[in-house]
Amino acid sequence: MDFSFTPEQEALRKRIEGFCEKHLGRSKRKVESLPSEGSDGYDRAFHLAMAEAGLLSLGWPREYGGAGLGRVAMAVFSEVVGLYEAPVGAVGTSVGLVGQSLFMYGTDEQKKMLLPRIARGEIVCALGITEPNAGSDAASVQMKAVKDGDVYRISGSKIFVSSGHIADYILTLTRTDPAAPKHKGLSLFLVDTKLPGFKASRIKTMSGWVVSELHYEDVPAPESMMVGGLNQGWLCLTKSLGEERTGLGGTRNMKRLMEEMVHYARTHKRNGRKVWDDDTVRRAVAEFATRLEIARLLYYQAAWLQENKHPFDLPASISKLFTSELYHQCADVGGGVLGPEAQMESSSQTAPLRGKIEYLYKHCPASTIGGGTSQIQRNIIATRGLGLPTGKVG
Amino acid sequence: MNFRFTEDEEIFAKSVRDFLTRESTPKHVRQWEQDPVGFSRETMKKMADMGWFGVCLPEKLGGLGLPFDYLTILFHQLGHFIPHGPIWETVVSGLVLLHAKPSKHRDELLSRMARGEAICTLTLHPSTPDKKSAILHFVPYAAGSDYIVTPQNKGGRQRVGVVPAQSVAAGLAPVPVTSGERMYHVSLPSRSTRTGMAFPISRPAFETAMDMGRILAAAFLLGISERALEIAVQYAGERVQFGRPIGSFQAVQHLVADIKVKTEGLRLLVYEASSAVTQGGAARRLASMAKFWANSTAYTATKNAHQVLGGFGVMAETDLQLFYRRAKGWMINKGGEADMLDRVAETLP
Repeated sequence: MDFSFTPEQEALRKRIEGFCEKHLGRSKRKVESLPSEGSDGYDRAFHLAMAEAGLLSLGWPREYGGAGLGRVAMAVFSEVVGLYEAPVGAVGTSVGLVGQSLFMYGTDEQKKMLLPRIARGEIVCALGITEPNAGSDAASVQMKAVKDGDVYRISGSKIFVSSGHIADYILTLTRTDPAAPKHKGLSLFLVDTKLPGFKASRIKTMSGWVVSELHYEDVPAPESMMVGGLNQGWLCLTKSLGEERTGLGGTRNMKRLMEEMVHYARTHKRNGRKVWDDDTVRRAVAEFATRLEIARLLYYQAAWLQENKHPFDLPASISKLFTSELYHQCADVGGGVLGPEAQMESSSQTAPLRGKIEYLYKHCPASTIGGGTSQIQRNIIATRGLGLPTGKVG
Repeated sequence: MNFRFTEDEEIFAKSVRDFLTRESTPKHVRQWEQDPVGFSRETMKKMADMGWFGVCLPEKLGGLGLPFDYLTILFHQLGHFIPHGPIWETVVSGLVLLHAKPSKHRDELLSRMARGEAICTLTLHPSTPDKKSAILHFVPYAAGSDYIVTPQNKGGRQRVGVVPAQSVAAGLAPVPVTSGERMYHVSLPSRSTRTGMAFPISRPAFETAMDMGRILAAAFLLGISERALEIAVQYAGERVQFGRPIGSFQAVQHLVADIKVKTEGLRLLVYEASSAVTQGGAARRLASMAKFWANSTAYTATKNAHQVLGGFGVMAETDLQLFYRRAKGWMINKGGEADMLDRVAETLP
């Protein structure tokens, strides 16, 4: 096996580092504050700058404004922006999820209309799947799309939609054939959020991170904005989401947090001795560092397998499960390093690591839920990966 | 980047598997557990003929002259079949000596090791020396080996002692252990009457060789974990309770999925560490990470597999318990958790 990067990938890493230094004005070694309360991780100026620098759509074909790079390069991008804690909200949904669905199933007209504008950062797209009554059982969608002349009238609610409140278009999963079996009567529409009857509201999560709830009341979506064909929505979505699944295992800012924890423990004392000299704390950090290295390897493996056209479904599930669980451990280990001060919110001037561990306390539960819960991932690994019989009910 | 094995590596792995499928069945393993010496010299000789004790030794010393990754592949496969005998000990002794100061005596010994004529055991637990004698603790297969290799650190100077096992035969005290491997406490006679050789080695070179040994032990535990997973998956698919295969219950599926996740992480970490050695880079952190994670994975893999197999798995006649017990031995003796984590911590940036 070969774990090294190509010279091109190394050059890309340097380029993204330079970009982050320039636009964020911060060194990756320094402890910086977190996105402020009520943030959705989207920073329009930074988003446009990424587009300008050609970093937004690295994996897209050149004809649609992309850089035509592979999945490993995209993983490098994710690793570097994580180290800099860069505001990359809306990149995953807009460029990744919706962009990928359009490449695979969009009409020429849809592609020409939207892809260049996504790549230039002018518009943001989001993906609406989850509903109040369709969580892990994602195909039990109740949102209706009923044909009415040249349009489909869409009614219902979506929830936990990342970037939905800032999006210009929502790729929306709807039920077009209520009589068909649950996976078969679904269709996808690109819904313009300026259409009458559409309403988005913000949902504040316990960490302050914002997602959205969407309400559709007879929203008239033109037939020309259907993606992938009538009643083909589930099939299209599972395939295009499958292509994007390798992106779920990124370790975001955990490497930086690990380095900051090590530095803190080596330079601070508690109860008369260096924190680092506490065997329990030091070994917990070492275990976290080990798991973090594994998370990085699982992530790159999934990306490499995908880039080289090998099966990557199972490795991507493993990567997602392992990394999302690691956020919980990161918070726990941080608590051991910082002691009682770990609970201080970032608003407190004296909070160690600017309250990042405290933020993670409140942010990590969402990591093992969003993008498919840990339990769903384990089901997938056991059945599709290891061939155990499904125990499907209904 | 490339997450696949090369064709040559696949061929090598297959040759190892084919050999062990014949020569190290569960029946053999049970025989070796009952055997007074604990392993078969004849099987060890056949392994030597396959080149296994000289994989990384230069060809002029009778070795295969292959990159370190091949040794990792060898121990990865050995973990699937858990043959008894001082295989790891002989290979790692060879790696240590290869890093020692070159000499004619050293090269002769290495050549004999490659040919299977110098079976070595290796002491890893600190001895308790006094002026007259020393007791070496938990020395595997001390009876039946030709040499006892004892790393010594005297006044900051590192040496590798090589003591003929026959010369200490009177001082062997058998210690029955969980893994079923033959284990001994060894009393070394006083230094004045002790025979054998000593080879100088630098401390960093010694640590490099031991890091390689840790990676190989991790690879062995990787093989055990993968085997435990196979056994659990097979049983979960066949065993019927409540009118359906137990593998269709999510409670069982998740036990098995957790083995898969940890094992997959271990596989990557072991080969990343191995690759670092092959490329000639520093592997201290990765080797210690790999051995720590190997302990953690083998623990989860064998424990969860036992949970899947239920009462059936704890019967002595079931193969899974052989792997469970062997994993315990390799977790304890070839790099314990706290030690490995401390080594990782030392190297963190």
